[in-house]
Amino acid sequence: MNDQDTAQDPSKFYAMLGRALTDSSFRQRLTNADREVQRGALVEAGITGNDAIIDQLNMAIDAIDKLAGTGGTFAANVKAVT
Amino acid sequence: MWLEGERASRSRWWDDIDRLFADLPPPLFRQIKLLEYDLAIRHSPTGQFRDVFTGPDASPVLSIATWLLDDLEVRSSAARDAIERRLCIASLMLAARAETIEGMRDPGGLTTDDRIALVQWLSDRALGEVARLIPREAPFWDVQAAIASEDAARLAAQSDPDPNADLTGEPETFLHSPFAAPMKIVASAALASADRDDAAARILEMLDDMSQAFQILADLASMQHHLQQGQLSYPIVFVARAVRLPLRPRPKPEVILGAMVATGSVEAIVESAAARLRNAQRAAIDLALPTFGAFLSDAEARLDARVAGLRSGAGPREGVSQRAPLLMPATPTVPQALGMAEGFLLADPTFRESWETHREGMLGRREVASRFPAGLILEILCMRGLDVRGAIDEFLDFTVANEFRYYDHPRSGVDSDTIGVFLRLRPHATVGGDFDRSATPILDCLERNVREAGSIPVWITRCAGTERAESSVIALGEACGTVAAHLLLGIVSLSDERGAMVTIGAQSLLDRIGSVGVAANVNYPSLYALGVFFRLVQQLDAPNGPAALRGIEQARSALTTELERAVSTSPATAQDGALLILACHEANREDLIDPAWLVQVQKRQRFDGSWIGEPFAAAPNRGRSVSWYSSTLLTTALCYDALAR
Repeated sequence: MNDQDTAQDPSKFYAMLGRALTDSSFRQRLTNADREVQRGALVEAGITGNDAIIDQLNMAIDAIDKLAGTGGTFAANVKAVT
Repeated sequence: MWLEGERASRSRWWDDIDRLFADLPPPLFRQIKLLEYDLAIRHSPTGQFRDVFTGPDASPVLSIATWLLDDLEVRSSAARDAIERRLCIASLMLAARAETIEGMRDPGGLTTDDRIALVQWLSDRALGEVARLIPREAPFWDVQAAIASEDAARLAAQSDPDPNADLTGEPETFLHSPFAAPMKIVASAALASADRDDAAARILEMLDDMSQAFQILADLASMQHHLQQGQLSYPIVFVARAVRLPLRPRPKPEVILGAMVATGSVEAIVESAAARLRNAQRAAIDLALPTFGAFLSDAEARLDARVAGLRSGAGPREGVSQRAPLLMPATPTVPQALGMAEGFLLADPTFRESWETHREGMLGRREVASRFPAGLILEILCMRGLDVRGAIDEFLDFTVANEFRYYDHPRSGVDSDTIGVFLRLRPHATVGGDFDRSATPILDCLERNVREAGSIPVWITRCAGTERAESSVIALGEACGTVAAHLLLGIVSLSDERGAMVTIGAQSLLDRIGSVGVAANVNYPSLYALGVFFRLVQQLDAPNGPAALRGIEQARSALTTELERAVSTSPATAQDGALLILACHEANREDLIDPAWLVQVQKRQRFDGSWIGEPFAAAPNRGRSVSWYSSTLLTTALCYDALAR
C-alpha cells in the first residue's frame, strides 16, 4: 500500500493506527526518530512508507500519544480486587 | 450539595442492604458476592462496593430518590425515611439486576446463565420494596409497566439482533443505557410517593439524557472489548459513519480504533456526551431541581477537563481524583483463556491430579493409580502443538515398566485403552524405536485375543504374566466401543503386519456403531464417544486406511444422526460444551457449532486457567460400588482443545 492506495482505501492505515494505540512497542517503533525504524514498522503493517505517509502518521501519532496519556493511561487496568 | 445527599443516603441505608444480602441462602449469597465485586470494579471510584455509582463520573443511580425528595422539598419525617430507605434498596436491586443481565450477555465475561436466579430475586425484591410504598391502583404501576416493557424490548433486540438490520442508521440506535430503566422507575416511584407526578414526563426525559451521556462514556471505554466481541455500540457506529466504513462484515478492531484516531472522533464522541449532560442540566434548572443541576454541572465540568486533557495530553492534576481511562485496554478472550489454560496444564509435567488414584484399598493396597488419563491429556497437548516430548517419554517409559497394566499393581489387568494411548503417543516421543520393540509382545497377545473374540476386548487376557490378575479380579466395563476405537486409532497406523487385527476389530466396531450408534460406547460420556467414533471413521475412510471394510457409511450416518440430535440440546456444563464442539470438529461439521457453546466454555474458566473437573468415567469405589472419576486437568485439557480448534 502506497500513498495513492492509502487515499483510496485507508483501512490499512487505520489498522496501523489502531495497533499503535493498543500495542505500545509497535507505537515506539512507529515514533522512532530513525526513519528507517519507522519505515520497518510501516512495512510490518503492510504499508510502504514514503515521506507523505510518514508525515500523516506523525500527525496521528500525536493524537494517539495524547489519547494514551489522558484520564489514566490506556495501559491502566484493574490490578487487584481486594 | 449533591455529594452530601449522596453520602447521607448511603450511610443511613447501607447496613440494611448488607443485612439483606447476608440473609440470602448460600447459592444466591455466592452470586451476589461476585456481583458486589463486579459492580465495585466497574462502577465504584474507590473499588469499594459501598461507593458504587458515586461521584461526578458515574450515573447517580442510587441517589435519584433522595435528590428528588430534597429538590421537591419533601420534609424530613418518618414517612420520608421509609420512602428513601425502600427506594434506595430498590435502586440498588434494579441496578444490580441490570448489571447482572449485562454480564450474562457479555460473551467475553464470566457471568454465567445460572445467575438468572439472582436476576429473578433482584427483580422481585426491588418491586417488593416499591409495592410497600405505592398503592396498587396508583398510575405509577402503569408507568412502571411501560418502562419495564421498553427495557425488555431493548434487551430482546440486543440479544437477538436482526441479521438484516440497517447498520447505516444513526449511532443513537445503538445507545442503550442499562441503568436508564432503574433510574426512571425509582424516580417515578419517588414522585408518586410524594404526590408530585405532574412533572414526571420531563424528569424522565432529563434522566434519559443523563443516562445516555454516561452510557456514551461507558461504551467509549469498552470500545476495544466490544470490537473484539463483534458487538456494535454508539462510538463504534459513530466512527464507522465518520469514515464511511461498512459494518457488515465487522471491520477489524484496529481499523475502527485507528479511524477514530485519524478522524479525531474521540473528542466528538465525548462532546456528544457533554451535550446530553447540558440538556439534562437545562431541564434540571427549568424543573427547579437544584441538586440534579449541581451534579450535572460538576459532571460536565469533569468532562470538559477530560477533553482539555485530551487536547493537551496532560493526565489528571495532582490532588485531583484519578479518573477512569477514556479507553480501557481489552485482551482478546480466547487467546488469553488458552494462555491461562496452558499455564495450568503444563504446571505439573506428571499430570498427577488426573491419575485415577484409588485409596479405598483396591487390590489390597492403600494406594493404586492408573495414569491413563494423563495420556489423554498429553495427546491433546501434543496435537495442539505444545512440546510435551519429555512428559510423553516418561509416560511411555512407565507404561512399559508397568507392562501395559491399567493400574500400577501386579494384579491389575492389561487393557486396550492403555495400549491405545501408548501407540498414539509413540510417534510424539523422543525415541520411538525402543518403544516399538517394547510393545511387540503385548500386541501379539492382543492380536490373539482379537482373532479369537472377533472384536477388540477392553481387557486383554492370557498374556504372559497376567494370569494372577485374571484369577481374582472383577474387571469392569467390557465391550466398550470407545475403548476399541481408542485402540484402533493407535494401531491403524502400524505396519501391515497388524492389518488383520485392524480389519477384524474395525469391522466389528463399525457393525456395532451402524447398529446401535453411540450406544456402542460403555465407559465414557456419550459426547466424548461421539467425537472418538467420528475420528476413527474418518481415519478408516482415509485413502491410506485399511481396505475391505464394510459399513463405514452406515456408521457415519448413524453417528451423524446422533450428532444432529445432540446439537439440538444446549450443553449444560463447560465439559459438555467442549465435547460437543470437539465432536463437530471430528465429524467435519463445524457448521453445527453454536458460538454460544464456546462462550459457555470461556465463562466457566477459573482464574488459575483451569476448568473444574467434571464426571468422565465411572470408577470403582469402596469395594463393590462405583463413583464418577473426574479430573480438573482432564476437563481443562478438553476445554482447551475445544477453544484451540
